[in-house]
Amino acid sequence: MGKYFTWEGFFKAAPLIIKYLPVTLGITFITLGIATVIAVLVAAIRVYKVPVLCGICKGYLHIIRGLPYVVLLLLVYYFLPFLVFKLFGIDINGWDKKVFVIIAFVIHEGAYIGEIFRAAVEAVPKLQQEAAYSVGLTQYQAFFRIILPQSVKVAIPAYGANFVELFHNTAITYMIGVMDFIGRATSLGGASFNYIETYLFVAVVYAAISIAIEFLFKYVDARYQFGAKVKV
Amino acid sequence: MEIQFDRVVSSLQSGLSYLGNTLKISVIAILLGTIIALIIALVRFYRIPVLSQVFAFFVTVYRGIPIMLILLIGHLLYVMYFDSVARALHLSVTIKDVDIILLGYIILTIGGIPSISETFRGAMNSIDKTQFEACYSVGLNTSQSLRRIILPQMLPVAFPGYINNILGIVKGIPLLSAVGIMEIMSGALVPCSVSYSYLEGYAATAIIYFVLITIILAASKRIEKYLMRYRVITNE
Repeated sequence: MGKYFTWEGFFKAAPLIIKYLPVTLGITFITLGIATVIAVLVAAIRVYKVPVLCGICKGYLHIIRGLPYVVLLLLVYYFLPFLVFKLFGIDINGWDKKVFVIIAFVIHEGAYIGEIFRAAVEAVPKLQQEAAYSVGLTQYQAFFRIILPQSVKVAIPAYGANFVELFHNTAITYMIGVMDFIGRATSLGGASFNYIETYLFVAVVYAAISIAIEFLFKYVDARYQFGAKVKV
Repeated sequence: MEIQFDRVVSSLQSGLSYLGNTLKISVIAILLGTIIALIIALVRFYRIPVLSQVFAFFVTVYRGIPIMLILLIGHLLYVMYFDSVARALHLSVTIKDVDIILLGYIILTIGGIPSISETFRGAMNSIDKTQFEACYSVGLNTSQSLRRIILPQMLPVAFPGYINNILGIVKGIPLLSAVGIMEIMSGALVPCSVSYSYLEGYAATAIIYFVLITIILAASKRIEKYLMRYRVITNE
C-alpha cells in the first residue's frame, strides 16, 4: 500500500463517488428546511420572552453550544433508541442511520440558526413593530408579516456562513458509518488502494461547492442592499 | 437497555485522564495557528506581491475543506510518507517511534489557520484608514504602528470571531479519535469495550466537553468585557 497518485485513478473513481453526492446534499437541505422553521420559532420565543419556553430555549441553546457536533451525533445515535424504548417501547435500533444524522443535525442547527435569527429580529427597528400595532395587526401578524421578512435581509450573511459550516459538518457523519460522499470515497479507496485519488476528488468537490455557496450568499447579500451600504 | 451510573463515573475518570492530552493539542494548535494566521493576514492586508496571492489561494481553498477530510488525507499522507521524509532528512526515527499525537498537532493547526486568518483580515479591514495615516504622519514605521496602534484596535473587533474559531478547534478534537489519537472521547470509551455498553461512555464525553467549552465561553465573556471597556456603544 503506497501507490503514488495517478490521474487515471482519479478520473476512474470520480463518476463512482459523485453518485453519492446527492446523499450529502440531501441531508444538508432537509436539515436546513426543518431547522430553519424550528429556529424561527425559537428566535420568536426568545425575543418575545414567552414565560416558560424562553427558559427552556435558553437552556437548549446553552447545551448545544457547549457540545461538539461529533459528540452530539454519537449521543443521539446511542441515546435516542434508549429513550424511545423507555418512553414508547419501540425499538428503533434498526432505523436507517441517516435518520439519526438528520435528527442530530436539526437539533444542532436549530440552536445556531435560532441565534442568528434572534440577532436579526432584534436588529429590526422597534418602530416597525409599533407601526404594525398602530395599524391594528395582532402580535402574530406583526411578527410573521412585518418583522420576520425584514430580519431575513439582516440574517443572510450569517446564514450563509452557517450553511457552509453545516455542509462541512456532514463530513463528520463518516464516524458512524453512513454511506455518504466521504463514506463512498473511503470504501472505494479501500477496494482499489487508491485512497489519495478518492480523497482528493472529495476535497475538490467540497471546496468547489463551499466556494460556490459563499459566492451565492455574497451575491444575494449585495443585491438586497439596494444601495444602502457604501463601500469604503 | 439501562444506564448504570457507576459506569458513567468510570468513563468520566478514564476520559479525564486524557484531559492533559486534549489540552496539549488545543493549546499548541491555537498558539501556532494564531501566530501563522496573523502573519498570513498581515501579508494579505499589506498586499505583499507574490505571497499574498499564494496565501489568498490557499486560504480560499482550505476554507472549503472540512476538518474531517483534512484529517483523513493528512493521516493517509502521514502514514505513507513519514518514513521516506524522515530518511530524506537523515533523521533516525521511524513512524513507530513517534507518538501519533504529532499528527494531531499538525492537522488541527492546519485546520484552524484559514478561519483565524479570515477573522483577523476582516478585523483589520474594519479599521479606519485615517489611523494608518495618523501613524505615518507622526513618524512611526510599519512595525511600530502595527504594534502600538493597529493591533490593539483590531483585537476587540476580532475577538468574538476568534473565540468562535478557537471553539471550532476544540470541537474538532473528538474527530482525532478516529485516527487513534488518545483524547477525551477515546479515553472515555476505553471502559466501554469491557462492558459492551457505549451509552455511558458517550454521556461522560458529553459532560466533560460541555464543562470544558462552558469554561472557555465564560472566560471569553469576561475578556470581551475587558477589551470593550474603551468602546463607546451608540444606540441608533
